[in-house]
Amino acid sequence: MYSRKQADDLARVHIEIQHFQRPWDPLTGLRRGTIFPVLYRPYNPKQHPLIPPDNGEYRGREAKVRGGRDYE
Amino acid sequence: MNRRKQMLIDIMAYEFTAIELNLYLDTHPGDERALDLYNQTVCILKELKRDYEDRYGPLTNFGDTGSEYPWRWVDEPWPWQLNFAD
Repeated sequence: MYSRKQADDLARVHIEIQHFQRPWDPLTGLRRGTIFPVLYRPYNPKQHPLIPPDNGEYRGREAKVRGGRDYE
Repeated sequence: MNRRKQMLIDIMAYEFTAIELNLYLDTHPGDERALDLYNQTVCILKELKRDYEDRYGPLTNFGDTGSEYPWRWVDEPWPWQLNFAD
């Protein structure tokens, strides 16, 4: 049974705290729209992190790793 | 690419990095590594802007930079007339 307060909520967000990682150099950052690899989400419909590929298999995690270079 | 355009792009890039670190520091005010990077970025950005303005005139017209005679602000191209298609 939901409490009144919970029932009134339209939505709740959960955002993880960003941990520091070495940023890209300024020119790369400008080109990519962020200096933080972890925030990089290039728009490419064919491999968008939230849109499954044709075979229906979810590849969000894989796409994420492909998008951002690992530092540290 | 001509030198003027390259310098404008560098300034844009360092300004963008400063804003990104600014936003990160808003939520992580105790992160010394980020603060160090921010301070380094600000230093370089100041140098880049000073170099640019010494050569080509003021980047803004609202009180940051003086001008040689005659008033250089009206010299084209304006700093924002940078065309990436060139």
